[in-house]
Formats: sequence, structure tokens, C-alpha cells
Amino acid sequence: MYPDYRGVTIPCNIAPLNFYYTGGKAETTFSYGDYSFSLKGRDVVIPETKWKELLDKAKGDSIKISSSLMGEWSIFVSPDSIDQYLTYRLVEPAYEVANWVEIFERKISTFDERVLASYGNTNNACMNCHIHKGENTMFYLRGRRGGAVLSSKGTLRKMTLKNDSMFSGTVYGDLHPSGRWGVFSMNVVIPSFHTQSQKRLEVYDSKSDLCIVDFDNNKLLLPPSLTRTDVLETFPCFSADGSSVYYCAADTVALPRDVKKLHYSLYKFSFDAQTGEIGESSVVWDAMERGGSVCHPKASPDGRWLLYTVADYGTFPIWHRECDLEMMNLADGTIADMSAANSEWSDTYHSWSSNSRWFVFASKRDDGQYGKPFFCHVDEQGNVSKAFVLPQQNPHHYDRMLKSYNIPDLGKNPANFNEDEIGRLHRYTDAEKFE
Amino acid sequence: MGRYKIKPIRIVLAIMLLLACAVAFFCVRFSNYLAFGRSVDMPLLQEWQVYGAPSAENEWMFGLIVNSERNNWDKVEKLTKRDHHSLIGTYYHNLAMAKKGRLSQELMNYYQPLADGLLLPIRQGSRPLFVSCAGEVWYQLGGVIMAEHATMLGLAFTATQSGKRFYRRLAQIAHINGDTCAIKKYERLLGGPIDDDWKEKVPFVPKTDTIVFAGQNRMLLRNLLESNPDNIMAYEYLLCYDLLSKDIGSFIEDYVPGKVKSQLYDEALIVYLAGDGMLSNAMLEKYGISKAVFNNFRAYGDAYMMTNANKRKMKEKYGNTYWYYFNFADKDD
Repeated sequence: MYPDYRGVTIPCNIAPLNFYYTGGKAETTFSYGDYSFSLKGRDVVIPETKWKELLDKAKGDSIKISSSLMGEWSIFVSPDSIDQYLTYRLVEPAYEVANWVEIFERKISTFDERVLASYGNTNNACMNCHIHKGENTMFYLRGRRGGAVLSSKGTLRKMTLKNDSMFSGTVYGDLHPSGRWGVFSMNVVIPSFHTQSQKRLEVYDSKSDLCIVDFDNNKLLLPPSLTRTDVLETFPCFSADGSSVYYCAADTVALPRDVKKLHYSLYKFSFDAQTGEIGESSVVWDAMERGGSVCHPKASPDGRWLLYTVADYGTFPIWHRECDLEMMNLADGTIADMSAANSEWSDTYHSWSSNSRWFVFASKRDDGQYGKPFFCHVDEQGNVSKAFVLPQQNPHHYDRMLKSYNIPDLGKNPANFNEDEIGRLHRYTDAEKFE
Repeated sequence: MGRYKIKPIRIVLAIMLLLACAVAFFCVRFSNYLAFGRSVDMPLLQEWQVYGAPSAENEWMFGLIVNSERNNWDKVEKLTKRDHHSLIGTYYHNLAMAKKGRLSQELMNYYQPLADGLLLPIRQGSRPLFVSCAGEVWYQLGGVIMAEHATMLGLAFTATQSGKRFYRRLAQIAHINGDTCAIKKYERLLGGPIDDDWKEKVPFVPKTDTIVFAGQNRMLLRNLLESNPDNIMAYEYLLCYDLLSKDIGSFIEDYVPGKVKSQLYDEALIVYLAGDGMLSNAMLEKYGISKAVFNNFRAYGDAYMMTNANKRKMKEKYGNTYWYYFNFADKDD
């Protein structure tokens, strides 16, 4: 069957898990207690009203599914809901360039999807790195008339997050819970290729540093400890309470020759949300000790967990097949068992739900080429459930999909802008300057 | 005399016959246009809007694309017999000559837009159709990573971002890489398994890993040769790339005496020896350069002096030599 939804844990507010049988037709019965319904055929497309009723009844317990072709299995309906809005960019894994890029927002409890930003009204500009934090959303429109687009406190702003002291504009980053601050990296990103065909792409930074952005005062802060030329600092994120920043850093090596010696460790420094001042850095995950290279740290909103990816080396894990998710308990530093979440293909670009019970990530399992959004549940004890893919109305959707779901990001509320507003912002609004 | 009335049924039959003739004419005259349209999965009307009305030039281009993908190199050679002085024509002509083992022998007999006619570049401003063709040479050479890169780009820049010719190529590459899940995906899109002609490419796929950037063609070709020194096509492409780039230093590094005998290489060797002041009977013998080639070089030198390096006059007699190319070919040509 595809997708394989057997034995998964799902939120109580998710759209029907439509699937199809690869081996032929079957009669499939969904039941909980004395409520049941059956569907016949190769494609199992579950009516939304029946599915919703089933989930409402089965909350906190398991649904039983019996198939004339595949026997029986169950799906546990967690009482934990998931943030309803998933944002992602659909882009070809075409290495270096893309065409007709769009950022979408999908409502997880239905199949509704809308375009937030589109090539059609931004002169085919590249757009990427969208993030949510509470009520705030941010992403980049690249190219001419582009900028960092921040939706905050009910307004849309287009900003140039670069000053004369910076070698590039901001790239990866996170927003402070207060909305006033942001912490970002600046990167000179170099795409390259492996000649060995299964490895495909290698992307590394020839330069990277961190900066703090004060959105309220249009200022960019460049602390010397975060802009060292002998260190590559990147992927910063705030802790759940905004009192610290986690980031990845590696000593510089000769690139591209020694790219396999590029190992990023995970560090942390304190952050004063009143003044923007930072403390000294301390190591959280040492690449030399642990073996590997860490990317994309993301703190759970409840402050208990830190989710990140680990690859053999480097800083662009989506092209590293060996890349896996790792989750650290911030209280004692122990690493959770992630075997139910990880696969033999790259698993990365994760995002937490606001209740810290779910996370979404991009995985290239299934076909090894095209990333899709997968979800996992995390219970009170830190046990992680089997990953399952975002359901689609047409169960054959992913078979025909030739774009990757890039940077899936969960948000509690819908973005308070649409593609036309973004188009107007792109065309008519000049970017605010930051010093 | 009575009036002659044409029966309506005959008018209808006449119209139908005319239509049938028109369709048959179109199918025969623009068969490559139709074949190409099928390969990119586009309905004819949409194809018409994207590529324009069928024209002899388009028909010719599509013929090159369709026949090369079917490995009909005789047909490609026939289509490129007349030199169109076009980038795409030279690209496929060179490919056909390489498949027939005659790349170096025919290189100087055809329009060469510097090295772009060997390895079709993908850069800002490249035509989407050309982008979709750029992977063919890499696939034929065994450079599957570049072939896949170009195929993905070609797919991204089509009007419909779909097309069987791309799925087929991606399926071939997935087979070569052993990516079983990707094979299933692409063959499902194609509606069934592909032929196993991809197997002949497996021995040529690079076995050593190094980092390269897009456009580092010399490094890619050298890597292919490192993995398989018997990849004669890659060897010839590398030498021809060096020569069309006028990089005699790299040519000498890459040249293996006796591996492939060609007048082009002899002419290039003379450029190297003359440039380094090493032109002597001993060196000519060492490199196996014939007296005839050397004498022709001397005559070239004399003519160069006598005509005062007049490009037009030199082209008349020596246009098919590497010496002429080395001295006179430039971007504006």
C-alpha cells in the first residue's frame, strides 16, 4: 500500500489518510467501537465527514483497519492536536536553479492549499527560508526588488537585512518569541557536485557568520565572537524562552578539497532580550566526540527538547543520504531513540508544533529524490512514533510529484497575507534599510 | 444542356479527402515535430503555442533531438551533413561523430563555436530547449551526475514541467545508480519499464569521488577517464575540449601518445612543439607526426607571413586545420 500508514500515531485533527493498494483491489473497513464504514477499490479515498467522526470517537485510542488484501492494522489517534498550517516551498531538486517557485500553505485537517507567494507576481524571483514564530512569519524574496518579508503585528514589511559590514544578506535564522529580535546567519553558499553519482550535490559555505537583528530599531548587531574568520557559524535558533541561542559552528578547512573534514558542533550562548547582548558560547554537542556534523537545531516550544540533524560532514544535509534526526533532552543531555522517525534516506528540515507534541520534517524516503513532509509524535516521555507522510486527497499525488516539499514549517494560524499582497509588496514597496 | 448539380455528399467527401491529405502531409513533413511533442507529453495545440508553428528549422532541431535519444546516429549524421552554423547543430554533429569514432577527424571540418559545441553550456539566457539537450552528451560519456543535473533543469524549464523524454532519462540514470525506488517512480510515470540499453553506460560511470562545480568540464572529463581509461569517447572529448579552448598546455597533459591517432592531434602537437621551440625531427618522430603534416605546417607558416595574417585568405586554403583555428577562431565567429 502507499503511503504506508500502518501502525502510525496521528493527531486528532488531520485530514483523511488516503492511500492505494499496489497489489490490486480490496475492501477496507475502518472501525472504532460500533462505528464503522467500508470502502471498496484499489484507491482508498476516505470521505472527510466520516473520517472526522471516526477521529472524534477514537481520540486517545486506536482505529482498527481491516483489509481483504492486507489483513488488519491499527492507527492510534492521539488526543494531541497538531498546528493546523503547514507552509512549504515546492521546488525541483534541480541543483542551483529553480523555475516557477511558490510557497504554499496547507491546512492539515483538510486538503485546502493556498499560494502565499508565487513566481507569477514576483517576476519569477526565488523565494525561500520561510519560518513561523507565534504570530510572526518571515521569508525571503530574492533578486531585484527582493528582501526579507516579515509579517508581524498585523503588518507586512520588506527589509534589506544587510549593511556594509556584512559580506552577505541574512540567510538562515529564527525569530525571538517577543517578535523584536531575530538571529540570523550570513552565508556565502557554494553549490557543487560529487562526481560519484549517488552522492549528487554538495553544498557548503565558504564563509558564514551570525548577526542579531533588532526589528524595532532597524539595527544589525555583529558581535565579534560570532563573526570570526577562522570559524564558520550558521543555523542559529532561539531557545523556547528566548534566553539563549543555539547555533552550529566548525573550524574552517580548505574547501572544496577538505569538505569531508568539515564537522559542525552545536553551541549555545545566552541572549538578553532587553539589550540584545550575548554571553559566551559553550558547546552542547561536540562533533569530534560524537562523530558527524550537526545542522538545523530547533528547540521545542516547551523548552524540553532540541531537535537537529546529524550527517557525516558538511552543512547541507538534504543531499546527504546518511543524515538523520536526533533529539536531545535539554534537562540531562540524553539522546532519544529516533529509529521510528529516521530512514535510510535524508531526514531533515524539521519544525515543531506549538504544543511540542509533533514535529514535521522533510524526508527523501520513498524515492530518494523528492522530499516530502513527514510527521512524528513525541509523547511526554520523549518516545517518538513512526513517521507518516502528509496525506493528500489523491492517493497517487506523490507518484506524480516532481517537486520537493522544501522546509516544511508548522504554524498555529494562517499567514495573514496572500500572494497578491506579496506581489504588490514586491513591485511597489522599497525595502527598509537596516544599519 | 441541363445544369450540372454537385451533390452535397461529394463536397463533403472532397473536404474529408483534402483534410486527410493535409494531415498526412503534416505527419510526413513534420514527423520530428510530432515525435518531439509526444516525447514532452504536450498536446499539439499547446506545443504549437510553445514552440511556434512547425518550421523547417524546428523540424530539423527536433529531428536531431529525437534521433539522438533513439541512438540513430546515422540519421543524426545525415541531418547535420549540411552545416547550419548553429550551436545545436554542431553539438549533435559532434556527438554523432564521437559515437562513430570520428570526432577528432571531423572536428575542423565543421563550424565550432569554440568549446560550446562540444559540451552545450547551461548559463543565464540559455534557451530552455537547449537546456533540455545539454545532458545528452554527458549521458553518452557516462557522466551521469551532469546528465541528471541537465535533465532536471530541462524538466524544470519546460512549459509543462513534465515530459516522457525526461522521465526516460531519469529512469535510465536511476537504473545505473541502482536507485530502485526512483526507478519505480519514473517507470510508473512512463507507464512501464524502459529498455535496458542503459547497461552499456555502467562501465563508464565514475568510480572515484571528487568535488566539481558546474562548468568544470575538464575536471569532469578527467574524472571519467580516471575511472575508465578505456572510455575513448571521454578521451576524445577531453582532447577536443582542450583544443577548442586553445589550451595547448592542458592538451599536452591529457594527450597519451598512440592512444588515438588523428591529424588534428598531430597539428596540435606541432603547435605545442613550435611554441616551446622544440620542433625537430627527433620530436616529430617521438610523437609520430608525419612528414606530410609537418610540410603542410611549413606551408601554412609561409602563407601566414605572405598574406600578413589575412584571415579570409588563410581560411580559403587552411580553414580545416587546427592551425587556422588556433590563430583565428574567436567568439565573434
